[in-house]
Amino acid sequence: MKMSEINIVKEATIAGNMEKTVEAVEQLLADGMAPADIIQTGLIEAMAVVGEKFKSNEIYVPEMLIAARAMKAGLAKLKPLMVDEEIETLATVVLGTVKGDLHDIGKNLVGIMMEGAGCQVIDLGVDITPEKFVEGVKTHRPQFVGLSALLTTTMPAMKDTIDALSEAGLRKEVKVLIGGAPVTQKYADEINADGYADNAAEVVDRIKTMSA
Amino acid sequence: MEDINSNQRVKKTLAFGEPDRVPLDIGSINNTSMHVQIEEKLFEYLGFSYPGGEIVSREQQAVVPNDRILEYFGADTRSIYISDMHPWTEQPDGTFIDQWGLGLRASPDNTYFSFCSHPLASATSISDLDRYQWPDPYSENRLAGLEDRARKYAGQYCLVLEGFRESIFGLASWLRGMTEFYMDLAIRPEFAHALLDRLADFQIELTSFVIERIGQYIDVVKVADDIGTQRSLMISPDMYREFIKPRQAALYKNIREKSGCPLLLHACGSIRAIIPDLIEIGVDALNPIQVSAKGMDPRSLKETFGGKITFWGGGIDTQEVLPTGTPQQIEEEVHQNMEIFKPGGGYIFSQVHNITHDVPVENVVTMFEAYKKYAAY
Repeated sequence: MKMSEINIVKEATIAGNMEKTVEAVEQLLADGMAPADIIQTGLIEAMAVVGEKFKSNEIYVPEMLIAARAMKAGLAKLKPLMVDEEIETLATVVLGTVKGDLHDIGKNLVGIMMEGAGCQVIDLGVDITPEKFVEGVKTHRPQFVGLSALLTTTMPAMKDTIDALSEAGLRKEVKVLIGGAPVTQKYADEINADGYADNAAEVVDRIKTMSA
Repeated sequence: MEDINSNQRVKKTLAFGEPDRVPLDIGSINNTSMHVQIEEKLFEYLGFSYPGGEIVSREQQAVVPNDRILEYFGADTRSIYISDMHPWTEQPDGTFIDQWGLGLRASPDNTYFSFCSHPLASATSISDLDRYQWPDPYSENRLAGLEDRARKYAGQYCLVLEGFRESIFGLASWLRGMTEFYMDLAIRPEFAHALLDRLADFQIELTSFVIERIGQYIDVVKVADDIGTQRSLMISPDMYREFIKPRQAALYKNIREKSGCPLLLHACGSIRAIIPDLIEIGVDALNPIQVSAKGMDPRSLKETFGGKITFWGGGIDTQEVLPTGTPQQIEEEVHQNMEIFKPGGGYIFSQVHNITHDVPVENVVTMFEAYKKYAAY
């Protein structure tokens, strides 16, 4: 019964059915399944499927948003029940859109996929100066820093941010991942970023590879 | 070939004929123009005294290009730009509200504006839509000064009626906020349909009014609707066909019938999957032809859609080549894309999108010179 219930959680999350996800989570809790297991084998596995479907254009942004909404609703039921040591984090990520840039939908989707994979994400927001990224790294000690830019005119702030991390003696402490419409692997290589992905789902692959 | 003027040149290519040269568009629409700082630098470079820019697309700081620039480089088009979002009202916190109730905030360095609030963000029901204060489609404000401008250029240049904005998909996203609207499409379809119907009705009223008033001078009508990303569509083709396509079809039919003009659609990004749909619903010309986006490479677009839709743009990539390329790279790309798109007409040259403020002015001049070198048939 537990296996099929966990599948209900998975399928409901993938389908973006928030009510059904929460209902199935509550059922599993009532049946005695550990919250951490529900998160891992239900919600996180669901979001991994969502990521694969997004990468292959089987689903698009609306479906990803409602899946995330369902996942968050499920998570909201489970997190309060977990003691700190039970929360397994894939990685901690400090995320932001770079200085001068106010665009955020791409960054938000990246944050969703990272949380869906079990990352702890500190989203600093938009128009984040190199100094604020440095502060974010000092405060949260992440393994990864994610930089987003939509404009060719704000991309240079990515290099400035990497330089600021070096100057602060923090460059080696973090892996810097970059993305955004005008960003390319070539640009990532030019500025010595640690990774680049052209879609939100693939960023998670980079994190998993680099965390292994 | 007998001498033809700009108006005839563009007409010919739109009819898939080969005129004397590929026509050139500089800023007839707010996607083929330039940042006001670029215009100023061009004036300086060319040794002209700069009178200041006429910023028409305030959120991009893009100009209606000065006639001196247009004449110097030989542009074949002129914009007839209805006032689309103005008036803007300044708020105490320095943001602006436009005629739709959209909040706009300047970027920290004032080079562009972004949306910061959405008037229908908290709408939950169709009665909330009924309560929303729609702009006045019959506002004379939109047409101020346009008739004089249109009369000045009519018959000489290709006059492009611009200013209907992102009429269906885009506006719905702006009014609701992107995240909310995309979720509407997925889980609140009745609400989404109601919003889109109201938008389509408004746009049909607006376009009918404007075309009735100045349509006689116009050669091309432009609308926009961004639905692509760098690698794909924002929503699935099926979702597009269910929600967006029918409303676009109704609007475009209205525009084409009332104006008798070809329809130019601006739709950024990787939209290849729906180009057949767009052709089906009456799109005659497509802009920007974002050549750096997935599936939008010139050669395969021309092979598949040449003779069915005019490529208005695609002259040179503006994400990488124009801002950072060498003069040689710029000339090569202009030449290459020209040779691909040119044959059989159906091509109007423009760089992919507005020239942003960081592009070196030498690159801009190199681009126009390369255009001139390779445009002849």
